[in-house]
Amino acid sequence: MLELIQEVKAFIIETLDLEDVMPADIDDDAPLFGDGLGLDSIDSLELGVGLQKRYGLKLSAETEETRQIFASVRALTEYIVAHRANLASGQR
Amino acid sequence: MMSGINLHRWSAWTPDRETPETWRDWARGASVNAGTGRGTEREPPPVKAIPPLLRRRAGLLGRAMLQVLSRPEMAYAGEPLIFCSRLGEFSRVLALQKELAQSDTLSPQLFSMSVHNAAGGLFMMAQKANAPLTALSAGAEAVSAGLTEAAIQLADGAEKIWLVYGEEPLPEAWWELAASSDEQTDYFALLFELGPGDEFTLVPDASAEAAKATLPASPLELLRFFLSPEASSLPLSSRSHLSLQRKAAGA
Repeated sequence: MLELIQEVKAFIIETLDLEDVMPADIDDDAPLFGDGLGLDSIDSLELGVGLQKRYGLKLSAETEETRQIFASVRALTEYIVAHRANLASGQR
Repeated sequence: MMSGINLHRWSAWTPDRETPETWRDWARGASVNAGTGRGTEREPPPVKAIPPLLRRRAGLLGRAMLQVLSRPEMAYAGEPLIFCSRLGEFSRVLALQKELAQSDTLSPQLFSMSVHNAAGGLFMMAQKANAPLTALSAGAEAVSAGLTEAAIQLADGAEKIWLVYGEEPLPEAWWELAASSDEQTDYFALLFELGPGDEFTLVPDASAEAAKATLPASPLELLRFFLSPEASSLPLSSRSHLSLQRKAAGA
């Protein structure tokens, strides 16, 4: 999980071209949008496309669930872990 | 139509020229071209005046435009902006087309930033300004279109206008399709602060010199004209027969 949290941070930085931001600068539990990392709505769309390409995740556009997934790096990582588990048990 | 404009200040950037002195040297030189830029990796300007969260969205052309807009000596004070580019961030459009050919998902960020008013939007957000923003894509006629728009806004009462031109080199995939007349240029961005006045006049020009001009004036030719006090007239377009004329010394 710790390793995946680092990977997700690197994924966010790379996907969103976050200049001058290092993985260590991102708090595991801080909000990604608004006050925390300061991302905006285009970033949420970009992350959605990135998650689809990198992890095969398909998020619906504007739901409460999506808000929770993007709440923090930890929430996003937990969602990816859960989804990968689904992939492992369901499709492989 | 006679529309008088004054040039208050200017700012220009290409990878090889940053300071006004280097641009004045260039204006005295033989070639108007700022270099072809073809096949060369170029470093974007740092644009430290724009917050990183906004700056990251800009491509190299966008950063070049932001660089000339945010230089401290220009000190933006809410002037209306006019952005002119023939092709805009064409390399991003090409990247989107490649992405579309390979999958059905496009990068929302690339898409939102591939339009002509992208750099202007970023600048306005950074400045928290709400001045009028006009983006013009007028093909090879960008210079006369931009100056005409500026003259109209000045005649309509604007005290100052910031007129911005920028281009990037044609992406490699287009090289063999490019007509020889297509301007081959390196990245550049130019900013002119214009106000009402009588230094320069936009006039219909049916002279033989204007008729001979088969290619519309490029933005770099406009900069060179502005920086060359001895030049009296610049034919802008063979289609609209507009010329930019300089008030004769002592007149």
